[in-house]
Amino acid sequence: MPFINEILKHKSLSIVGMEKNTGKTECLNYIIKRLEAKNKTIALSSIGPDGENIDQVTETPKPEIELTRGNIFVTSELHFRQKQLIAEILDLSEKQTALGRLVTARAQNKGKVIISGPSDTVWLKNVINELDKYNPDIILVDGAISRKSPGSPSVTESIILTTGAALSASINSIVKKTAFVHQLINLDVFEIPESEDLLSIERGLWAIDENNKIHDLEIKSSLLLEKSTEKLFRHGNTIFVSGILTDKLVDFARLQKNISSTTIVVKDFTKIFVSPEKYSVFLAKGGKIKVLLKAKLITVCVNPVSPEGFILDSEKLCDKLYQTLGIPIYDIKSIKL
Amino acid sequence: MRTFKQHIAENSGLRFIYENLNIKSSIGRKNLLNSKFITERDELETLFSCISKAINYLNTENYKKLSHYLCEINDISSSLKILSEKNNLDDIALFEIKKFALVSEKIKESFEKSCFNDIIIFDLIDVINVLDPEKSRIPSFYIYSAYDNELSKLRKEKELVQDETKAEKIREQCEEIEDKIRQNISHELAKFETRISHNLEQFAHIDIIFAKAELAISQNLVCPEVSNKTEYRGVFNPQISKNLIDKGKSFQPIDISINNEPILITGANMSGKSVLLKTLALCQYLFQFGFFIPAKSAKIKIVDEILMSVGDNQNEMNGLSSFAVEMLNINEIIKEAKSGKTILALVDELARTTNPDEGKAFVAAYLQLMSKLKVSCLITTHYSGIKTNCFRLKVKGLSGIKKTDKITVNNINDFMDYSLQETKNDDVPTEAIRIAEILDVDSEFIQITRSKLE
Repeated sequence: MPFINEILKHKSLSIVGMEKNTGKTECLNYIIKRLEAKNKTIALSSIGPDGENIDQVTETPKPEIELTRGNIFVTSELHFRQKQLIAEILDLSEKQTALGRLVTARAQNKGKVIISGPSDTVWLKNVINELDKYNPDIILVDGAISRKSPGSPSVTESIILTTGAALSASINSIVKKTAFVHQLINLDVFEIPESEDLLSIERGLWAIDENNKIHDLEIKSSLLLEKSTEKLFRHGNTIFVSGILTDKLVDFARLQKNISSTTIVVKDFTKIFVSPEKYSVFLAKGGKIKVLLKAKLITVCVNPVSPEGFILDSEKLCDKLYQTLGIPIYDIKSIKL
Repeated sequence: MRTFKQHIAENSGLRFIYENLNIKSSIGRKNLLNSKFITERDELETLFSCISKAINYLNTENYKKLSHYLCEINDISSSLKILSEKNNLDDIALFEIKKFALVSEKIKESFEKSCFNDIIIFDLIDVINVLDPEKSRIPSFYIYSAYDNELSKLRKEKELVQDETKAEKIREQCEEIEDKIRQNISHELAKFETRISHNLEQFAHIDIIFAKAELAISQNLVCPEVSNKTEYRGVFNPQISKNLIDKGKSFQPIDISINNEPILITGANMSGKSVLLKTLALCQYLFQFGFFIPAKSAKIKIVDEILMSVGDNQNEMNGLSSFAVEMLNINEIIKEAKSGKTILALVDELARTTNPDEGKAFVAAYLQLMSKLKVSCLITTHYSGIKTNCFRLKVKGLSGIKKTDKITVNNINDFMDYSLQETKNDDVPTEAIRIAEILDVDSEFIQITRSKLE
């Protein structure tokens, strides 16, 4: 069976959608079914309240997740009360989400449940640590729509990306957008012995000199760059951005004369909020972007059906993505179980 | 009466204490924040004896276990409220109560071996029995099949049924039985509601006691003696002391006694008079919220209220001048004293924002009134020639300075003797120009000031 064995090599996996209606939930249900067939124990959570049962925008029903006996899930009080299975409560958080406290429970029979989770990645990391105590074979995280943050390698070890007709009616456009995210996920790791120190930095821009020494550039954020232009490169051409990387810094660096030897380092791909256009100009000029932590992309799954109802040629879409990305691509609905 | 929470919002010294307090449960935190200023002697004495016992208990293996269990105590008061109103609990609430009862048993066990015989913890075995029909003693819960034979049968049947309509029908039947079970359990548990509530309150109490005990050790606090007069030996301000230690300096502890009469305190600028008043206010609050005291020893009188006029009120924003704010504060003190309440009044530089002639008269009149009303009151001043018979203290001030010493704003602390001594004189230290010099104020300005005095 495709990619299931690959998933089991990791302790945790998040499923991240490029857009709404890219088949994230179908993908999750498929993975759960395959894992259950192998008698694996799953622990499942999500990030954020995923909204209502029916998506307000597109009116498409939001499928629930089906679990079998023995699997563990974390969800909000609200969704726990709506569950359609018998579940043994194992834990209850003290903190509240918008939908109530988080309930950790073990399914006692087969049934459906809506999964919602902690509101931020720090809390999600704690939830994942707590889930580890129940010794599951794999922890799955249902990522929030169009938010890639749970896919951060600091949260889960591996990711599956879902894409599809919801992004665009044009196959070329879908491939282009997906390829860009794929490119970010596969950015090279910046090798430095002090990477732990860098990861613990919460804010500001920093320089890494030739001897791997870290210097605070005393620039609080790249948004304040205009006031500190001469400060930026005073310790060399390697700049560490502790928060998010935006067009602003990339644009600024591109115009400097040392652009061909400039490297921007970020914590991981989820911190990059640079538009594809700016990114490619930056690269063309010789700039580099590297990451401290690299995510393991298991595969890309596609949903050729758009919420408006048109259907793209699944085979053509998968093939085109495969040609560009160079990794196996799956249309979950067309895989025969 | 205002709560601890309201006081820490206004008093940075008290906030510092709160921030250093290691309370483990949310219910403990909630109860402390909602606690009231204590004016009953017995209540305070019981609290202090509990903290003393807790201190002896801190290094035991049992305490390690206890603090671990306290971390597991959740605030289940909303579930208990549902029970007390004889309503039915859902699975989440039932889980909470079961987990609580299991932890409760562990705390009870670890407490039985201790000397806290005045803290009573009820056994909740009956609660556990209701919620743990499988006798697993694991903190987890659902409507177990063991509750009902019919339910058990139906659940097994549902697993085997292929037909969806039939499965749906069985599910509905199951739910009906489950609801009946929830109803029965809730009814059973309602009998124990007072016991569970009692334990929850006790655990919050224990949590607070031990947090105060830990704080007493980490901040070098001492057990106060409830007394008819106040007497501190080596009193210090924990927050300022920490700031000084961080800079490689230390806080000079002070001795002071306060009887039922006003004390007039004089001293140079920067001689710590305001800090003294703030520290005494802090100590009185700590005392009456049942904390140990930052001092070598402390005998303290219980008061009904602490009233302060320290000139950092923000009422200026309301369009009142600083003099007006001060007069209103002073009026409040007089009003409370006349009402017969026992108060501690702390007044920093009374009438300093008006002309010295009238200012002095205000100070003398205030002292006379406080003497008559027998109010424990400290008042600082820079005015000389105040006509009063009241007890006077003076901060020793700058001393032991050699000609070669260069005093700056950074080392003035080393030359300042903050201790208090009794004085009969009505003159005050005239060191303002010297202090201004040390602060590196413009030399021409200083020189002219000097010439004006001559």
